[in-house]
Amino acid sequence: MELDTANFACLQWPAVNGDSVRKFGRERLASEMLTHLDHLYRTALFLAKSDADAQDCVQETCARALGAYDQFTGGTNLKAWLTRILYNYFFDSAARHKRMVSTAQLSDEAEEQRDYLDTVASDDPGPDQLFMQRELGAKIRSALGRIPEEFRAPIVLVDMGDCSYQEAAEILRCPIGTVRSRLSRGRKLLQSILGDYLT
Amino acid sequence: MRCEEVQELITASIDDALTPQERAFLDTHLTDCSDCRAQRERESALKRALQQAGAAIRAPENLRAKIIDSLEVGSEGKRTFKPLRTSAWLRRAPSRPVWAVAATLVLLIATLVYRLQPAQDIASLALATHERVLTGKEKLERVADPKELREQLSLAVNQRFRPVALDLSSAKVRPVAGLVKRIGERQVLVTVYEGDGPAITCYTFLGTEADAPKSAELFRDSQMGVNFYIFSDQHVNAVLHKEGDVICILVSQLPPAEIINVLRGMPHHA
Repeated sequence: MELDTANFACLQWPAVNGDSVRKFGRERLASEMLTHLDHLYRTALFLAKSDADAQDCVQETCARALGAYDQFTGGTNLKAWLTRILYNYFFDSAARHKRMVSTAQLSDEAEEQRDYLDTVASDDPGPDQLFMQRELGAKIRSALGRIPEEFRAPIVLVDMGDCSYQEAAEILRCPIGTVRSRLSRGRKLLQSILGDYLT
Repeated sequence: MRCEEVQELITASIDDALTPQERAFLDTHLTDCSDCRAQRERESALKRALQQAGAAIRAPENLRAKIIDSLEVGSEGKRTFKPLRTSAWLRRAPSRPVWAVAATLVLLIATLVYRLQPAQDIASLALATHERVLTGKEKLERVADPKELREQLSLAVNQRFRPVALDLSSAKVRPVAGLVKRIGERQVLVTVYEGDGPAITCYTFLGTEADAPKSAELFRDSQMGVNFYIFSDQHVNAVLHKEGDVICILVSQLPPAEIINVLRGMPHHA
């Protein structure tokens, strides 16, 4: 079966630098794609129901990106392009199989499932400073799992993924103003959940 | 203007996403409103916490390995994609023979470049080779023009990546020489900065923050949105950070804090 790349056509954003427009080779795309694995995994983790589903999402994203490598133009934003592919796959898959469930749907499930993000430990124990933040980090991940997807997505992309408003808007296919308003409301929700942990 | 009407402006101000007009508008309101100033502080604290929580989540090594190792040697010695998860990858296996050839190139090179055997290889070897580079035990190409040096180094790796352009004038050094070094299975561009200050070597390569040694100390600059990883041996100090798709390690006898200050463009105090 040929990979349907029609959905990727819209992802050829204007080049950052007009002189640098050039087609990526597959090998270069593969190399640079690996530098975004942390971001893709982090994004998938806050979309999917489980670590296994998040890993599945990332693997499929990589496969689709390589299959559609000629759709990507050098000089444009590879990170955003990959993230959009991940979103497409996640929501397509969720719609088809209902196997993957957005964390937003977890509120009706068992407590241990609702807080699954608490159990996802970073693969790397991380430096001392992050150890000190571990409790707050766990609370944040838990709180993120409890707010609606529409507010969580821009937070994961902008606050945790260093995406610009423009990139988040392209990925989420919504106006920049919507990204801004959802970020604002999402952060308010997180503040109300986290309360004293932030002070 | 009512406080409710500036909440989105506060959010955008924290992300540095305001137009000049909006910023002026918000500043005027904040001057007279302590509640909104407090809200901005709370939201800034939340943003910092979110950044730290995000930085702590990394792709598991087994996932990285699965993707990198998704090669297998076929019966004719050709490399092809190995299904990562049968349902996902076999479904994508196209019938065109050219794909198999392209796939061979893709992951063969990806594997060569990215097989992250001990992730700290380059970091530790950067410390170990710093002195060798400065004492002439490594063959250096000396180029007067920094731009030409950068171009030559880029060409040496077929422009897959470029040395990070650093202005280290605050440390009284400038780029004078470079070399391409293979460390492990990856190519590393080494730029030597010399001048009136202590020499600095800069190692640039395609990688991730996982290339920082496990024992490295993290310093996060929230304003720049950059993580600096500090590590040392007996003689020299190193600071690793990520810029775009490349990892940059600066090695010097300067104290780590001074190296970070140089990277952040702050005055050099040594």
